[in-house]
Amino acid sequence: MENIRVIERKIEFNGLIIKARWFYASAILVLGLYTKFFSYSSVNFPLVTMAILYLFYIAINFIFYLYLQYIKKDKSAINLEILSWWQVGSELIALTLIMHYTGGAESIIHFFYFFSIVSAALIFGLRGSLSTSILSSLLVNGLVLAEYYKIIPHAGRFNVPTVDYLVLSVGLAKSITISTAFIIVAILSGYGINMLFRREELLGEQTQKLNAETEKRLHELKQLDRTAKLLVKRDSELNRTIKALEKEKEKSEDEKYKTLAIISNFSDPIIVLDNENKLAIYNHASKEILGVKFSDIGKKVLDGNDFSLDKFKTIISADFNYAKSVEENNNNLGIEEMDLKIQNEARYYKVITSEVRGDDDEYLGVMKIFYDLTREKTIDKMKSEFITVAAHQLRTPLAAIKWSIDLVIKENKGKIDAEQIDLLKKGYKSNERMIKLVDDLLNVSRIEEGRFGYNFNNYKFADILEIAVENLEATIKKKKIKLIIEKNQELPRVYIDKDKIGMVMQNLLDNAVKYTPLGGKIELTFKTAGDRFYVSIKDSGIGIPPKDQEKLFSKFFRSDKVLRMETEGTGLGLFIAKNIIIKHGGSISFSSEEGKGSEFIFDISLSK
Amino acid sequence: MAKDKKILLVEDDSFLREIIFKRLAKEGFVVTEAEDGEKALLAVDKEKFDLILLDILLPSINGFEVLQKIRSLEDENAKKVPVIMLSNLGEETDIKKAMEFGANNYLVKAHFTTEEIIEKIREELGE
Repeated sequence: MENIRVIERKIEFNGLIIKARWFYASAILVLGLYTKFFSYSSVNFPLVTMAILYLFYIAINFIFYLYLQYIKKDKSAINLEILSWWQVGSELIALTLIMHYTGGAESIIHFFYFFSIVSAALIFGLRGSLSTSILSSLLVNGLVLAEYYKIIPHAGRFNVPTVDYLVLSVGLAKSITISTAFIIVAILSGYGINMLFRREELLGEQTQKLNAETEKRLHELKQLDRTAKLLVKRDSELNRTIKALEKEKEKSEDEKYKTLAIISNFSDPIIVLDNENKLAIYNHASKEILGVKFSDIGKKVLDGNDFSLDKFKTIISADFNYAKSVEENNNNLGIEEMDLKIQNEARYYKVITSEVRGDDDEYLGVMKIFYDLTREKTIDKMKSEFITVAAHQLRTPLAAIKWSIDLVIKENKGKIDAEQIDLLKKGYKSNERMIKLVDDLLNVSRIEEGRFGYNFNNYKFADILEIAVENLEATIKKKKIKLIIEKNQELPRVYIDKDKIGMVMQNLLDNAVKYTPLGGKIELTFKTAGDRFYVSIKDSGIGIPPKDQEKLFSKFFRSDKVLRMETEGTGLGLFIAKNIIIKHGGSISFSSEEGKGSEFIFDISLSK
Repeated sequence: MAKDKKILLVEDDSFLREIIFKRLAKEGFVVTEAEDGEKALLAVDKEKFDLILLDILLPSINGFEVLQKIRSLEDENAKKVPVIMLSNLGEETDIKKAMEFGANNYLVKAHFTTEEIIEKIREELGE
């Protein structure tokens, strides 16, 4: 594919040649006319023939001009070549014809061939100029030879033929000389034009390369531009984000400051480890009470995930005792109880360890909070001391009343009347209730302080049952209650604290008898399952109102209904019973329907 | 029978002491009263008793100490005298302590009638 630049250049040359042809065709005509009319000697110049040739030539040139206009748009190399050969061919024929009519061997228009040769060179380079020059030489020499040998008629330039026509050697010498000039000019111009074309081609290639490069660069530039625009956009977005983040940061800094302020001003010690178990935060109280130092910040406190208090000895310099608490909570890693001395004063802490998690539930570390229980402990201690002392002090007068009434009743029969004895008996009964209340109060305070000691052993359950029933026999008889004790199986030996389970049985049976109306029924059934022994006490009593069922085992709880019925009872019996059964690894439950009765079931162990 | 049995009653509350004294006397026991630990030990020193009813919460020397001292007497007979604790205290720890120190029985005052107490006394005296 020929270089487009070369084609453009050739089109340009063709345009120039066509333009030039108007002039030199006209110049030949003018020259012919001049030589015919103004020359010193008359020259043979056939006017009509020349006019026809001129007009024909002009017409053809016009066609060439039109064709070139078409090629200018088309830019077809082949079309351009065709046009060019047509030009050269038609021109050579035209020149040869003119030469023939203007004197043949005597004619002097040879130099017009140079125009064709040069123009062929301009379009085809060396190959065009050489072939044109050879063709021209053949035509010029051929014309001389053809006229000399009378092949074609000789149209003399002058009226008298000159030596050019008459002597073949002279004619040929002239024409060969001219031919040589043709070839020299052809070589020079062709070579020159070739060089020009090559440069043009090189330039074209370079231009093309440059164009391609430019295009590439332009493309890159465009992309760069797009990228730059995107970057600018992103930059502004980033700026916005950064601003938002800064705001957020300020806010969170503020929050952090507030949180830290809260933690550091918290009166109880707080220690926070980060997710690598390094000390992250501690407060003033931690420093004062536990002896955590500022230099401990960032220190690895422990390895692994046992966060019990003794692992914190790496940062807690105070001496302390601690124990795992029986309390449990799902939301934390455990509760411990800790005590230490500050300036010889005992201090008690409940230590809650919990995971610290962020908004997205990510693990941030572990926090230990030390709740100061000193005051509560002291109050508790004082309370139980008070109860103990009060209860013990109550026992002396209670015993005194008990014994003296008893004495009066037993030893003064006859001296006091029946009504008085009845009053004394009632007084005795009230005193007994008081004694029971004191016992219960003492038991409750022992349960709460964990001093309720247990003494487990193997006992016959039948013995325990017997005692409990025996104690109530009189009342049962009086109330005409039908007591049914399941006899289908022999009662087993159980692994229990005899006194405590006796207390439970007594309590449950007491309640059953108490709340069962005259002529009612109490049923005792037993079941053994695995290592557990189940005891059921079912009465046909008043039942427990649904609203009271939930609170039944609470301390001091007494149902309104019971309160309306009678005032006896402390509201401690079931609380104590539940604690005892739990300590026996069992559970106690009930079902009840108001007006129909209640059933209490508990279970104890058969063996150790 | 009970007529010649000597009982030392150690009780700081005068009214209680009076009731028990009357009751025991009525049963025919020879009763010596002591209102605190110190006097009790003096009595033990002077006389030989068949049984001692011993309160725990006492002025000066308490019942536990009195019991310990009696059990560490040199006199073999005096040392072995049956001792029934009769106290307001009723904790397992108290009972356990008293038993470890060598008490023969432990009664919580308000839990027993005087009759029941006499029954326990007779049990200890092997009657």
